[in-house]
Amino acid sequence: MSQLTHFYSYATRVSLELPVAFSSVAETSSSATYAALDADDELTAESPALQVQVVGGVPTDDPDGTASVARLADQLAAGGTVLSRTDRIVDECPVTSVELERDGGYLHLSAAAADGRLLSLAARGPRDSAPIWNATISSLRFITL
Amino acid sequence: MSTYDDTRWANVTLADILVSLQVPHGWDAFPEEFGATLRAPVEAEVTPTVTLQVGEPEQPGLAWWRDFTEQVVGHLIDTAPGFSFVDQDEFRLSSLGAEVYVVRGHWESDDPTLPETAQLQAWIWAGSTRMYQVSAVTSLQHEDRDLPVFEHLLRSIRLLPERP
Repeated sequence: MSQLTHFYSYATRVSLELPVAFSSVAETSSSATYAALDADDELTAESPALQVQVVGGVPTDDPDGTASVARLADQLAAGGTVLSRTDRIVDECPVTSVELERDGGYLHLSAAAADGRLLSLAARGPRDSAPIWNATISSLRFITL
Repeated sequence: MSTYDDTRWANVTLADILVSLQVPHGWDAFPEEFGATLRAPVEAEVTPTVTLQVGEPEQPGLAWWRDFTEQVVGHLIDTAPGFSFVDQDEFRLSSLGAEVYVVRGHWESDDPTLPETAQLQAWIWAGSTRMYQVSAVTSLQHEDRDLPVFEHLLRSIRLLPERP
């Protein structure tokens, strides 16, 4: 049995894998939210969750999106204590992830540029959820159908 | 000689059949009716090739799938002259709860000019209305090199939901 569940959103055009406990809990025209519900199948403020959102387009003077990703990552990290920052290439696209503490909570926030679009991937959870989010970011595929 | 560990992977989307998967860099993808063919750079004897086809199960329901997987090895032995069974495997994809049944075997033609091949056949059951067949072939000489590539490719498959 697979320990991961695959999700694809036509709104975000992002394919990703999360642990089997996660479900798709909301979708808008530009975002998709996934969360691990509690034992009563409820979504709480403490539920580990990830929201993928299309936040805009990549400017034409930044064709590969690297500079835009760096700027968005800076914005995402504002107001928190940065624990780590990681730049990587996933599915041939630039992705920058920032781990931070804000208001006593742990956040794993990523910026990505794919197919001319700028995306944010905002995850919350306990401090030891970092390996889950890092694996999820590594699983990203940007798919336009 | 390159090995599986040296392989760099590229994500490929086969939009017509709603599949995303990983293939080694340098492979080509060719759309076909009801599917696609994925092919390694040409080799002298047998070019490693993977074909995917989409269709529907002959009957709806999990019971049909269970019967199908129980009978498939015997069916191959009975109907494919020159086929010899090596082993089989089952697992689930991360998408849509899809079940995968894999058969590995060798095939030897009556024609002595044709090389013996190593083959991987897999069937993916994604519910009562969607099913895939994956057929992968390489020369027997390159079985150890190419079967792990075929396995990775198969396990990397993500099935995409129908368009809204």
